[in-house]
Amino acid sequence: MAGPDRALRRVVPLVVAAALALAMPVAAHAFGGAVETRFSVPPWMVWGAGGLVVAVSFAVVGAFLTRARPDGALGPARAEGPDAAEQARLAAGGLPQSPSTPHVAPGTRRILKATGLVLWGLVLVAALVPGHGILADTLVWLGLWAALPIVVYLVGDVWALMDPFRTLVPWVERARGGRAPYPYPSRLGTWPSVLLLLVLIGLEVAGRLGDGTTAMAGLVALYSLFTLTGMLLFGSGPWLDHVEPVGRVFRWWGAFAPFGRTPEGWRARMPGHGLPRLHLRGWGDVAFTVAILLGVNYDAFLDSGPGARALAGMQGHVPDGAGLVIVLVVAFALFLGAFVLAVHRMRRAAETTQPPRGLAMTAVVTLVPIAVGYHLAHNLFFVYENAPRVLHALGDPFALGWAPFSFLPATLPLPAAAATTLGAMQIVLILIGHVLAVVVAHQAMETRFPSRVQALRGETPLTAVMVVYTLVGLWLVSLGPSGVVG
Amino acid sequence: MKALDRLFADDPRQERPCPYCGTVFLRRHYLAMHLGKRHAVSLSQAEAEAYHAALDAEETVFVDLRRHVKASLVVLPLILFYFWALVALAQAGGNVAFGFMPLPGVVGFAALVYYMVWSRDAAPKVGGGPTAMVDDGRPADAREETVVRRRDP
Repeated sequence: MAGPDRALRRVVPLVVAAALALAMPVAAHAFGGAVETRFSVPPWMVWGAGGLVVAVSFAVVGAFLTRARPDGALGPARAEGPDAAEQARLAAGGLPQSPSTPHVAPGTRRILKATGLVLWGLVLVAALVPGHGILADTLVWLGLWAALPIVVYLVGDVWALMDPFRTLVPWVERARGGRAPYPYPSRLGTWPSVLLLLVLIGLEVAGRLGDGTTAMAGLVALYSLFTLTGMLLFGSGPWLDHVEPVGRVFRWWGAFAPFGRTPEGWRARMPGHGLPRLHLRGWGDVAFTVAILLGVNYDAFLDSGPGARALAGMQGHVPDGAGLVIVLVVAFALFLGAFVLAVHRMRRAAETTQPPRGLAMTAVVTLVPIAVGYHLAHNLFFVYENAPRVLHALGDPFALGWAPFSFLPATLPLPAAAATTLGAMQIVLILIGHVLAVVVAHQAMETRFPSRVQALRGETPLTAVMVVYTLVGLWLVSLGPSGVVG
Repeated sequence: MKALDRLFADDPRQERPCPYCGTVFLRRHYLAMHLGKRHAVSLSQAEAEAYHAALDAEETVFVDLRRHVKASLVVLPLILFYFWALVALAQAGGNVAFGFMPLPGVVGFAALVYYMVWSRDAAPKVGGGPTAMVDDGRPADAREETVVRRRDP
């Protein structure tokens, strides 16, 4: 039992430590107040079962989902990052392409572009109407953060078709005329987008809480100004490729899409099929993927008892709003640290001399199915309940008291009696995401290593981290529903 | 997982660069697999044989692993059922100590079932399947011949 036993000995402390770290807030929660969960069984049993499902699916996938005789000649190792032609195109200032973007007729494309521009314009106008924050809050929080990702990780990157910044590229280029005055500093890589994504996550959560103010609309206006300035100064292609985080997030979501539309028509694939073709470029993209996973969990954590208590505990000791930032930064450091630690464990378990960077880039995309599972679990019912709000907000874009959709209910509340069923469905969604992640990880690792034994041993620490993420996710879901629109 | 022990028994950790592309591997087994997969066209006779031996050895490991996973999957519901019964007993306000009384029997039965499933899929003793006899020093073709002759005298 030399190999796996040692690998196991290395992994088990990791799991135990993580479980302890998790158990402490849970215990504090349990002893600090009445435990109210939506499950009729003890919550620890649900979490344990969830972790078990991931572990068992790893064992089953690892043992049975392997080709008995792998192809003898697979050709040269796959290149990391985009191929030479794509790199040259990007270096020449070309726009980043989203491989999952559905192929639509030119007319539909124009309609989508116009829709994106009009909605963006409405939000900008709302920034000028005092006391009319509902439109921006609804469109950004409910539309862009909760509803549109569901569409994108089902049918591909629709946002690339309606992204107003992408639509404005020809105008920006014409306004500037000629080449960008400054080259994009390549040594920054894609780290600016990580920073901006974290800022947006923090601001969105804070903005969602502000009711009736135009904070969100103002934020969108400021962000648009910032992005357009960046596109003017550094070139549209490099800016949208390296810095602008919204389009990048949707590129990541779209890579998961099981359905897609090619020029030949609709096709269905294994979910997560496009993830290896995201072509990550270094640690910046790794951190970006982790930040997406964090963003999906962050609002749920803040809504939860421990999150709220942590914020309340910090109030008075730190300046207003700093609590959110501290929680965000600490959580991001924890998520990224856990992943980097897992990558180093993977290298040791797989006994490889491959540099951690490439391994991290292969491994990190397997977090996307997990993020999809969380996102769907957190937002599916939330979007359903609040869908009419979008119509009501759009019906009165200028706060003039129009109510064209007054025949619709304000919300579509789900029956309270269904709470248990819905809670169970959330658990199932999270678990499906994790099982898909295990499958995607297995396939990615088998392309990474020549030996199946090596691949399986290398996957073990990644699976341990996934089990931990499952526990965190189920714990967050058990604490309560996602937030409310202002 | 005896098969895994055997896989690395005389294959200590050591830097072994690929003669074609220079990538460093830490086990002879990994290097053999790499050579067979990445440089299939330029392999020498010995390297090709090493690759096929490595494939066979790896398959042995996976056959072994599958037997264990299968056995675990059969035993798992049994353990979960017992666990559920324990929790249900505790939640119903029963005496939990009472629930632990059948524990030795449950563990024994689980071990027995595990062993039965595990040994059911054992490789045949004589002749071997595609999985047995990896390190006997003969090329793969010679082994296939032996198998055929023993099965069909």
